[in-house]
Amino acid sequence: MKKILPPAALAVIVLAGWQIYVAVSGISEQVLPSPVEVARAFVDDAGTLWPAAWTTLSEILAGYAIAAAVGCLLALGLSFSRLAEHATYPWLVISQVVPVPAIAALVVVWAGFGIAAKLVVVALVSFFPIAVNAIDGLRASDPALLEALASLGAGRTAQLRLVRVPTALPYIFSGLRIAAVLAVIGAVFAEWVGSSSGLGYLILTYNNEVATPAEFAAIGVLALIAIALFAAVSALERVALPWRRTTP
Amino acid sequence: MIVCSGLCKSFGATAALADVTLELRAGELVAVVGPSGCGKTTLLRILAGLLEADAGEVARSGRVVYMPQGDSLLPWRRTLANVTVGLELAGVADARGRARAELERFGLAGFERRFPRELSGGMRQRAALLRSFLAPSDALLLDEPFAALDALTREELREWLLEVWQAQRRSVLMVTHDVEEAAFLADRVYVLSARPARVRGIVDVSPVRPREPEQLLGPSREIRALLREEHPVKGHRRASRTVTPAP
Repeated sequence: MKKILPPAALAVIVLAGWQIYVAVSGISEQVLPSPVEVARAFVDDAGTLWPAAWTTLSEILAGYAIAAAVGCLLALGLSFSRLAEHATYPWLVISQVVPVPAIAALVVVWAGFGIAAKLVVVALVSFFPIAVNAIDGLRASDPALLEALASLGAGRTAQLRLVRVPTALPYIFSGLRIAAVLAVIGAVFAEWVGSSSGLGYLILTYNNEVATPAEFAAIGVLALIAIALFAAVSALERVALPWRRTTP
Repeated sequence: MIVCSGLCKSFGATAALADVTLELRAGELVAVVGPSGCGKTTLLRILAGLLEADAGEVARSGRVVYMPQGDSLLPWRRTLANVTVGLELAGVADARGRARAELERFGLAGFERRFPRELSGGMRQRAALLRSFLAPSDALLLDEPFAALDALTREELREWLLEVWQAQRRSVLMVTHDVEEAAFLADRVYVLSARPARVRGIVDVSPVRPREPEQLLGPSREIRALLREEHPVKGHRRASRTVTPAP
């Protein structure tokens, strides 16, 4: 409760200030709708917003799951070969700077306008932080711990299971949290460059129609999805890593 | 159990071991004492087979378990799961049952569900020792097992280690920089020089146990004398090998 109260209070203050500004300045709702107008658009357009949100959410979840699986498996595979890891790692890092819109447009050219292109874009943007963090995590083991376990009879596989993977888990969860946010952005871009459904498509349509309150409502739903995803990963982390939340 | 002779090891330009010869016989508790940073850990890692020596020989009969400095417990495992790791890796059935039977003696009863960070330093060290003692092995190599602890806990643990060792009669070789600890625990004490380490002398301690404080005075004095590179004191013998003094 103590953790929720300050940000909630800040949100109320900002929303109130926004509402007052719109009322006092007399600004057109097509330029800046008031929170109340956005809320009204949200209720009025619920029939359009929810199916669109569902479409985008499924793209995000499926692409994200692919990225998580491939990223972790790649990192695990590379952990067996120092050379392969050295060859791959810098390119993984460099590939992160390629802008998402550029990838999205290209992927649509290759994969068409269907769901496949969206999955590829979402998976691509969320893949890199997961893979790079997993690789870092798998190399972060305490050498003393590895030696102690080796002396107790742990071979390479047992060391991986008992030391390296548990050490990597917090790193992987950091990657997963970053990727959760990127996945949402990726889905929007993928829909912008070629789609006829989803929240990204809806935002673009509302923008063309100058239906600004509805556009705000769609953006709000998108933000809610990102927050929920982020919170879900954090909750999963707390459950999966019980040794990190206990206090002496 | 373990015999090594003429061990030399360098890391790049830094020589860690110049010429180390020592022996750990079955059922013995042997201490290696030397100034900080003299290469004691390197010696243990070579004896444990985790590191290759540049020169010299190591003969091991049976399995050797090495316990590094610091507790080296797995932070993600609760106490019981931590102490059973060695048994688990050896494929011993009923590892948990066997560990449970020892928890009392190791002062860990009631703490089996705690994570290492929820234990005190002394308990973590005891858990690490229990893990080492439970693992099927013929000799234990302990690297400064009590170094990270406060003086009071150290003294408690050293008495407790003696009890455990007397009950189990396992061969134990421990490295320490605490002279009294060595004199209190060991059958024999190898005194090492500063880096690169050579055996400067061997002090035999009377087999009487437990030793009263006044019985520690003689051996402690001898060990200190060797550490300070004084002339040989009555009652200790020089290392049998001729050693080249460090430059």
